[in-house]
Amino acid sequence: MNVLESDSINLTFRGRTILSDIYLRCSSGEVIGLIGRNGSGKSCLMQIIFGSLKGENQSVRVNGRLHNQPACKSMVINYLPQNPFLLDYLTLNELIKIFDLDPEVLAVEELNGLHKEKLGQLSYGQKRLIEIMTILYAPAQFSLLDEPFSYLAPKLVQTIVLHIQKQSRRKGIILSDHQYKTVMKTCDRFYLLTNGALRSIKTLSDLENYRYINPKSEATEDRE
Amino acid sequence: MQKRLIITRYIFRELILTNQLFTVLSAALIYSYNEKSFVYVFWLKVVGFLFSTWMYLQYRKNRLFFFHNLGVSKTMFFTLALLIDTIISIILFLTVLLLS
Repeated sequence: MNVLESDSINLTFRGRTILSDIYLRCSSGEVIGLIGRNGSGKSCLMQIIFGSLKGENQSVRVNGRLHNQPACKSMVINYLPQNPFLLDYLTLNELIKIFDLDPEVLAVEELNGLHKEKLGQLSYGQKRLIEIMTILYAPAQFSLLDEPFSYLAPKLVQTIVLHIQKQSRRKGIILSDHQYKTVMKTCDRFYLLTNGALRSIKTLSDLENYRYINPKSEATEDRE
Repeated sequence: MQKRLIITRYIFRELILTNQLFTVLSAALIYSYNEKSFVYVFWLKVVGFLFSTWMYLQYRKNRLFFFHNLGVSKTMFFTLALLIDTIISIILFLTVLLLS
């Protein structure tokens, strides 16, 4: 079993503390959810763990071994950014080769007929699905998914949740999204990032206590 | 090895193509003024590369994650791009110099 541990993560931006002494642990077989308001530092936290952003002080360890180079160099951890990152002139077949994707990705029903299409010619949803599958089916031991459900149709979100759960059997997954109900259903552990700190969330009322959701509007939503 | 070559080709396509405008302009200078233009060509190429890098970081920064996920850091990406550009430029300039 692989274990990813990141601790002492601090980040200050223009005098404002974004992340303060964060500790996060993820083992293979686990899906960890992060939620937080816009600008709370979820993406920064993921990028610091990934190694593409440097915090003021951080320690990222995989199986107890300290990464003295950014994790992105070692390909132990991969990262799905919020915005499209794949090159428009590539096809899914080329991605499978270059990222050494698990051949199981060929069996994904929603990707049928898209293998030879250039990514630039696909719709946002199709392209996003390919990006998520690329990250999930790549051989990295840990995958960080930044807002994988945003702007996607409910059916596609359900498909992605199934693939996250399937791939979590062989790797550790940390994901963040604003669709907190989907995140809560998908994840084994669930944290709220607020005021630079991670708070463990067990129930919806914890989210109300931390004022992430408004109890009144939530009640209205449930009635509807 | 084959994977590295493919990644290098992508880097070329991502950054160097924009920079080729400056390379062609520099080649025209060499063709017209021979060795006298070398100082100007050097600075033109420096400005060209910095401009291409700036443009990439401004408008296509997110695509760096594609390379990060393949194990290529930001420093490695731009160093490799500079190296490829230098090799292409030297070959082109020498050819132009011989022809002029």
